[in-house]
Amino acid sequence: MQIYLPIAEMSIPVEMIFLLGGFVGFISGVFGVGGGFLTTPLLIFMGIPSAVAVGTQGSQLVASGVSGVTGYWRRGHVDFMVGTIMLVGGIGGSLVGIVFFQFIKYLGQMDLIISLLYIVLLGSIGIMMLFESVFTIFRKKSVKSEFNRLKSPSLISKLPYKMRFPRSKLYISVFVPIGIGFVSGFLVSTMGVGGGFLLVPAMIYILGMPPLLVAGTSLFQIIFTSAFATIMHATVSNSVDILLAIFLILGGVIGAQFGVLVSRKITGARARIILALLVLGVCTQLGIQLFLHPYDIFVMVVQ
Amino acid sequence: MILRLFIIAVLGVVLPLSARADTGDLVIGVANNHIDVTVGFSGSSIEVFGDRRDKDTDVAIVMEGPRKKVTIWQKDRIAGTWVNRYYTKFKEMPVYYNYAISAEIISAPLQSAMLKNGIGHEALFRKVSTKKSSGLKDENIFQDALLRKNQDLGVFFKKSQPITFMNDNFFRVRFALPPSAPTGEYKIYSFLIKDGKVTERGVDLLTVEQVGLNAFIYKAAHEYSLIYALVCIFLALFFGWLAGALRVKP
Repeated sequence: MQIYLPIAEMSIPVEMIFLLGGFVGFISGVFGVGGGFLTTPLLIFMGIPSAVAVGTQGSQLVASGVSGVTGYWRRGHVDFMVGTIMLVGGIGGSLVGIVFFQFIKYLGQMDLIISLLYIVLLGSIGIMMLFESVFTIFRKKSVKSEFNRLKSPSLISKLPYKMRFPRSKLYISVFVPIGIGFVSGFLVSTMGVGGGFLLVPAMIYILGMPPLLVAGTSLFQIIFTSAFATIMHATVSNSVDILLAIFLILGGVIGAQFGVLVSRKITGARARIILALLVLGVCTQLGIQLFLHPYDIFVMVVQ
Repeated sequence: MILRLFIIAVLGVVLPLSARADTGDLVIGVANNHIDVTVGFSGSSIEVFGDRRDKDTDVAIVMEGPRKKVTIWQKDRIAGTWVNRYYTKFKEMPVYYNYAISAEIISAPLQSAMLKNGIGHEALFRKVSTKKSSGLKDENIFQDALLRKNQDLGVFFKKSQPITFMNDNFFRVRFALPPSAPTGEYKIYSFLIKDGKVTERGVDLLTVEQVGLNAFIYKAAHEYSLIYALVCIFLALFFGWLAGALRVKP
């Protein structure tokens, strides 16, 4: 059944959006990630304008954030104080991201920049995740110790405006959580990804938070950051398509149920290897589009 | 005679909706002046009826969409990657263009009349002002790319549409409107051509507009964008909560 999307102003088979939402929901159910890194490129592959894909993705992140956070909240695994401080950075990052987004749109290089950002982000995350999980399987030892050797505690501990976070048992400069939140906000508003796979390791290795609290806290922060990014996209560039969002979210809700069932069969490092390969697959696909001779060397933009 | 009466009856029904040419040598009627783009919109077609007084004249009908600024980028290889590099910006290009002409042979004077009056694809580029990036040699490739891109979208057409004559004077043209056609104010120009000269012209308006739920959403998103954003967020919160509550318990 064809459906006419009022903001994207195009007609598209509703089953396709539904399946896409379901697939991403399934992935997020299996691996416990938001899946935004899949939705935005796939929407663009389907012909949805990049601006609408990124803008609409924000509201989907709100939904997946809320559905994820409730479980952690019930178990008390959310550090609201760290989350709120990160949110300050998140809002700042979103604002910078929106300005950046408008700028590349003005330059006419939006598709290129978004592709490049995705390639850099997905490529580095995918390779890191792949190494980490392969190490875990073969050496039965996490790379955390090596990360700890790499990081320079001296630099982070030198930063001013230290604050005590009792829930996470941290005494650290507010600039660290603000900085991590800033990156997350920038990713949400320019790429439509929550950046959980970047945030979670950053919160463990840079911030030094107890791993138990990390997932819930990052989700808590992402809900508000992506809600803010949605407001910005809707008011600045009118690029949030509510019908697209609803079908994506509905598909996602159903897909996630199946994903959770499957997630009990594959665990730990094995799941992360599959996820890493998936991330690298999307990255390669985007890279191929950028480096191979395009099917059509002309692009039309109607303003 | 009966056919003549029928034609008059049809035009009588159709015409009050639209503008008429002055002297009445050419009369045009558009069957539906308002195309509703609903949630289930999957394209439509516009039927144009007309009556010419003199069967030795030619008629041409042009349907064009709202004019917008269109940029054609040409990619080039920079550091191994394909990047939008050269551009030509066309100010005021119709986002939809389709035409029909009754003449089977396009003579030289007819050709120049067509160019002058915006009939045919070549005429599209005649009065449009362009802005080009530096380093451009051939601008025709950009015009060709624009035509081809629009044809791929289904909003331009490779050939002119046929004009069907029911008798010597009464004719009918059908213009397809694909689902990808942008919304807005469309114009239907009609021309009566005699000996390579346009002797009469008329213009009818056609509105392609989102209606119902779509119109409501579009309006809300553009005019009350903050409230619209909040509604999006509340919907997302609700569905997210629902998903969390429904989640299969381990």
